Amino acid sequence: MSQLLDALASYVGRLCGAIALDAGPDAAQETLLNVFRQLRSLKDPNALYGWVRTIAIREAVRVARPLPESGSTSLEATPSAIGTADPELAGDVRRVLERLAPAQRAILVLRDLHGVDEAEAARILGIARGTVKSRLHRARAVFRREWTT
Amino acid sequence: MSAIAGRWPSTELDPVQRMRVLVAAMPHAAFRERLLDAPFDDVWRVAADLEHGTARWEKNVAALSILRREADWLEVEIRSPFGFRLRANAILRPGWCVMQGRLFAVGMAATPEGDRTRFAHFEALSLPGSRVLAPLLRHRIHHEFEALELLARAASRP
Repeated sequence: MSQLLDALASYVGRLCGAIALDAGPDAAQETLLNVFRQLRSLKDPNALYGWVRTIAIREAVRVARPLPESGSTSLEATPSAIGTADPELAGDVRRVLERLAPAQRAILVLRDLHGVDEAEAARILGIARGTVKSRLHRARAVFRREWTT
Repeated sequence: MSAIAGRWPSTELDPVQRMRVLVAAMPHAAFRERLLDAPFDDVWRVAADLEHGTARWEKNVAALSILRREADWLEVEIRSPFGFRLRANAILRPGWCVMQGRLFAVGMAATPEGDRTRFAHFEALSLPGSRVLAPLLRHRIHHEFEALELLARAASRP
């Protein structure tokens, strides 16, 4: 059990850290508590990581602090609505991620870091496939813009 | 995006948070945590000294011997106050120790909180009736914390 915790803590830490940022430790702890409480209900061991990923992503989005009102990148905003980029953002992934809403960070993590397809991303996040597509498009645009500034 | 994948922020649980998670999978484990009034280094020096320190605060242990050690893995033999000898595999890292035997599991975790130390401890039995015993073990852990705190504070005195 201790070895399983070692393996899952690292995996969950990467998911929750990228999405929940400062609230990452809270999200990771809640995720792992849920996972270990329900571990006996998992029928197929091969489904472990997919199951853990779903719980982690949902928990990270739930506990992540929303963007502040000023200069925020709402899910409906266009990239041009982003405030002036700080020159220090270049080369700093975290600072770029802070410019995105938690749900946008979740889309990027699922699609671009974990290669999850649109249908699965929609299922995990509880949104329509079309919404996944449009949010991903905006998130990538913001990410590229802030990263290269 | 893939070129920067390794630079995305990540997060780690501290040892006490990890222990809360581990215990979540053991519904009949006796678990407590407490803020000890002693610095982490002093608490962990006592707690991690398995052969000389454990029997001084852990009431289920009369003596503990380390039989083998490979990096953070240990094989230990525990002599209970009733004379039983039990073998266990243990993982010992800074702020973290879990021992797993055939009939039991115990663990302790510590993390600094300012000048004090958050300490967590669980005991679990793989025996019939362990559900009934859990409250008794929990009560005993409370007294073990007091003993450990006293030892750590004594250790911190010049």
